[in-house]
Amino acid sequence: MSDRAATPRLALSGIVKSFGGIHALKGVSFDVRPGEIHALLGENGAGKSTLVKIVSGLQTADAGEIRLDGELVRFKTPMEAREAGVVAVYQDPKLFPHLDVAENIFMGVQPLDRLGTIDNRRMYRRARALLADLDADLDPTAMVAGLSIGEVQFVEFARAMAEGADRLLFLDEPTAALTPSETERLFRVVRRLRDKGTSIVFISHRLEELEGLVDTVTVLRDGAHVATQSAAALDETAVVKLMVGRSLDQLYPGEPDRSASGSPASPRGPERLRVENLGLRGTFDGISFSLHGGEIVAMAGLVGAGRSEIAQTIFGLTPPTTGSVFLDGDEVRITSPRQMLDLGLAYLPEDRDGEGLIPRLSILRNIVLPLMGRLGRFGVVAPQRERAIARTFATNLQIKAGNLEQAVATLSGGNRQKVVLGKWLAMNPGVLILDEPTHGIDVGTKAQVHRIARALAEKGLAILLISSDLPEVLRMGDRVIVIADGRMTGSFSRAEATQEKIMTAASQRGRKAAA
Amino acid sequence: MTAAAAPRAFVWELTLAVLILLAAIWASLTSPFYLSFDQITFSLQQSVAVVGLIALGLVAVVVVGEIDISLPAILALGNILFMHLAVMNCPIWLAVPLVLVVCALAGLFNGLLVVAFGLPSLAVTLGAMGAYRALALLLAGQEGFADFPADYLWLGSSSVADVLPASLVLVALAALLFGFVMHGTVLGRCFFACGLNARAARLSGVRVRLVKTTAFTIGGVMAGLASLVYIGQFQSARADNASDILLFVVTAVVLGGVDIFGGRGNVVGVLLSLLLLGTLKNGMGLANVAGSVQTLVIGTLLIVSVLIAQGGSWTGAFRRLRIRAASKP
Amino acid sequence: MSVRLTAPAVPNPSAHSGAAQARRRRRMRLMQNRALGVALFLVLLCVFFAALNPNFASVGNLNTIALNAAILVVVACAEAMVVITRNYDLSVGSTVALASYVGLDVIRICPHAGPILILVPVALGALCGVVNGALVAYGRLPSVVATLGTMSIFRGLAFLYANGGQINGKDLPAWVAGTATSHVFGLSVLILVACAVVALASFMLGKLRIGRKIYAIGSNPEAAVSYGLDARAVVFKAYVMAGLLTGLAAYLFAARASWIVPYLAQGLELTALAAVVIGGVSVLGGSGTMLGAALGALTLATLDNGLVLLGASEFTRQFIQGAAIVIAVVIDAIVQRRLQDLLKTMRSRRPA
Repeated sequence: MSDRAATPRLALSGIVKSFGGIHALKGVSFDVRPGEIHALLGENGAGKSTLVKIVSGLQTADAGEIRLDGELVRFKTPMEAREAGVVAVYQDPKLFPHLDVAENIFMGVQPLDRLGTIDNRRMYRRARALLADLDADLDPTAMVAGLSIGEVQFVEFARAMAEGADRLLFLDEPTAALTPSETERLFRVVRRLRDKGTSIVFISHRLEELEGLVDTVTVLRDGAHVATQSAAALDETAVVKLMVGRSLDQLYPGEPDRSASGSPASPRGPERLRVENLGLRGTFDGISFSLHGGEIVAMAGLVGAGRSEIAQTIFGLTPPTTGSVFLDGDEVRITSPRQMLDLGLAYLPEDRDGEGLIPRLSILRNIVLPLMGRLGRFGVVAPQRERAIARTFATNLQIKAGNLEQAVATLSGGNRQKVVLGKWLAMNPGVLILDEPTHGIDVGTKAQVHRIARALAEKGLAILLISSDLPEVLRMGDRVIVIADGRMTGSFSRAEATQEKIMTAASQRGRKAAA
Repeated sequence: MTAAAAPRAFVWELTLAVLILLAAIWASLTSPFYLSFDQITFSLQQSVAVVGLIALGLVAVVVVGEIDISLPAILALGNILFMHLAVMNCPIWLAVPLVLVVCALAGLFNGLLVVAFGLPSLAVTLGAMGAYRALALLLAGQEGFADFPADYLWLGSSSVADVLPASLVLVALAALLFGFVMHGTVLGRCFFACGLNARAARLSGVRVRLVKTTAFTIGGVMAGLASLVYIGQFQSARADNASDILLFVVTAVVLGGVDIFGGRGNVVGVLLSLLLLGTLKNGMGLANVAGSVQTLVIGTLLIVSVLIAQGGSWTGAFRRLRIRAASKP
Repeated sequence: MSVRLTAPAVPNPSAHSGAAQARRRRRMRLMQNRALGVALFLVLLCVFFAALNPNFASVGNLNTIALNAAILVVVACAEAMVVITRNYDLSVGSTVALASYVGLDVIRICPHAGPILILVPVALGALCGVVNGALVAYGRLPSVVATLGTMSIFRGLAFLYANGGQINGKDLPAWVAGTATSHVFGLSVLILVACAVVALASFMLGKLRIGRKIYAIGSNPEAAVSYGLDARAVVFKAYVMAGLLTGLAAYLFAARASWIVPYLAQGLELTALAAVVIGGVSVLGGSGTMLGAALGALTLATLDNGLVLLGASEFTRQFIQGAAIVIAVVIDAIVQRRLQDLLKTMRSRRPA
């Protein structure tokens, strides 16, 4: 590796970071050379994002050294990092909705004139040039509140290019919300930057999307550095092995891969949920599908395609503007989540800690939250019965905790997800919508969640599984429906569904609107 | 509520108890008149009965994560209504529910505005405060009224069994009821859930809008109840009644350990903080401390108590101040 | 291992074209620029009052309105600066009382130092702003609680300092009262100062980095963190600048008053907030202009004046002020919602 004598652009040694006793990074050390594209790979929770945040000044390391071109640095804020030529584009970018594109690109580093005031002419001219450079058809004076998720990404990229980023650029999962052509545009820009001498660190779940782009690959697993190797020397299987620490067939223990067989896993029961021509103004429209007892329907699509919004509308969070929903054959006029829960439909949200749980409450209180009105009498709570129910589900789901009074915030991601599941199972629903249920949890719990979902379907539940994880979609779904840009662009049986078909359907951005 | 939080909450209450004791010792050292049962109960009745009822109402609102600063204005509105009802010779058993309903509606109106438009409750209730206060002025006219029949005045001026002021008994009963509602009923649990994370609560089937509106309505009812005590205590009704108690009420709630961001707090803490504030006020009154200085002391207490609550503990607050001082360029 | 979806190339639709799109965007800009709406409302209000009472439109009366509005304009600008960062300042009235009493007492004691002493109340105001800013930004207190506390503290300090006394305007140097009565180019100094404050504050918010940061923090505090903006420093500075302006307003208050007492400007925070929200500054932070806040203050002054001419009681006027806040806040919420709807439909109707 040290065939080039040059000082590494970035040299990390012994980076340690822990959050409340959980070690996110356990002494990570590796180098990034000047002018290379470096892939940082690893599973969810491997510590990639934390590492980026530490180097770019958003968080500080508990221990360890960061050297930039040989010089010891410790950025306290992203602004400091930017001044040193280090910029990061984080996952799930956040912008200022009240301000326009150019202001978002240049916030804090606006070009100034001689008097120290903002030079608007120059700012908008440069913004236009930057966006043109990125092939992004965006008006610098457009308000950010009105942009699509893909466009927001490009504003972020423009921001990274605007100033700084001449030494080191981090891109944290930048492609999750992008169509292939947008991804291609991004790659072009990244290559150009590399040729100018900037080092780019590309964070991703997988290697093949970066094929032909990256020079070097670093793999993290469970907060530890596993390997740094030349990309040419690695193939996908080898990378997966490094990422997971075991081979693929060990990944889903006890679960046969039925994706090839084409037969449904459990007998198809009566129709539980039917959605006809459902629409929410400005978000999605024309969504129609049905869900039968005993089956798992997977809903695939790019991040930001509107899948969560569809699920939340069915759950009553934002009542639809058009269309109708039938539960067990009866039309429902959707008003609130409470109503849908009472009708036997539950929704497990993607944002587990922000929406699925109340982290400061105990396991017990979280599990019985939707149920306590039914357990109690005359509005008075019934602690004994609550405890009995919570204990049952905590045991069944093998929630690892000291006791039921423990605050959910102190549990691991997987156990927190089990608490959310326990909460819904205690309600005994007929229809269950799972929104990215395995996002950000460890492999073992992931397999367990899959087993639970399958077992529930076998008991007659109808399950809608929203997932961006393609193997999960193919493995779990008895049928697959695909959403792109708020519209249904595909519906496949298990036998028909292939990775390619789903991908094609998922990237039909904006096509239906023209038709 | 959680295992980790329990000892800390306990420490807070213990600290309050110690402070009450210290305040009482200070008061008895300052004035020979302090240490007498009648003096203490009379003073407490004067200083904390009205405030206590409103503070309990505010606890409900703050626990769901909102704030209602129009409660004193609702009290004034209640006073003026009592006045008109007294003039009309309306019997007390009819007057009380009438006034309570109007005050509840005032609270409900605040809640509906906050919930229906997703507005910040401070802005809404600030406007409502002006509107209710002025409404009271419109209804009252220029001069005050001091000619209430005896049964209107009973609650605020009489004693139960000639020992305990009736208004303090009412505060105690209300606190008991509140304690039960907050900690032993589905509604109370929903209050806390909304205050901790309204979105997650909604996704867990809690009717967040209904719960928040209920909290605002409870606040209004408590302000109405406080107005009945008020007219008994001061035997007068004017539209500018209680225009200066907001600071006292908010301080009582925050000093009582209720998290101003919602989701945490208990009635015991609020009762203790009322007792502390009452004792301090009593002592300062006996020591002839000027009114503006008393306000200054309470304002300082308010800020210090939130600083500590924010920092988690005394040491935490100091540590954070030090770190901040160090990190400031 | 998670595999994110990627796919073969599909042409990307281009955005923003067509006349309908342009029209919708114009409408959006209009809604964003709420100062225009306030100005329109103000004109209608004037026409209404002028129709009901011929005296309203006289030059003398309009001048009175402008004079009455001038100081409120300065306070409204101060309050708006804080509200744009998603905070409140309930202590403006007490700050005015403290800064004017102590500041003018200093002027009374050393009358020969000359108008440079105007800086004393201004500095005192800034000091109050420093306290508020430190508590809210660095102490992380909710602004409502912090400024409710300082509201009583500043007022209490004013009373303590006054110790039962009051300052007679006659004991002050003549230039103090002269500030309120003199004219430059036929315009009252008060009005000129108000205009200068609006212009300067607008310049600061629009053309300086700190100004744009104030909007950014109010617009999305989370994004501010990932941008590396020091939110605490920005909020702190906003409070200090607001304090500075409030101190200036305190001096103007004192210059107009014949007696300076520690209970000056009670309830000013309510009026200032009313002006700000009527002027279209969003209580949810991130949007609003100084011009809007100033127009809001002017609207309040006009309303007050017109109602007096119509013979409405003081209570009616107070009621209208309180109701105006509620109505303005509700309108704000509706406009924000419409704006979001419009933005969404712009997205979904985008042609391929």
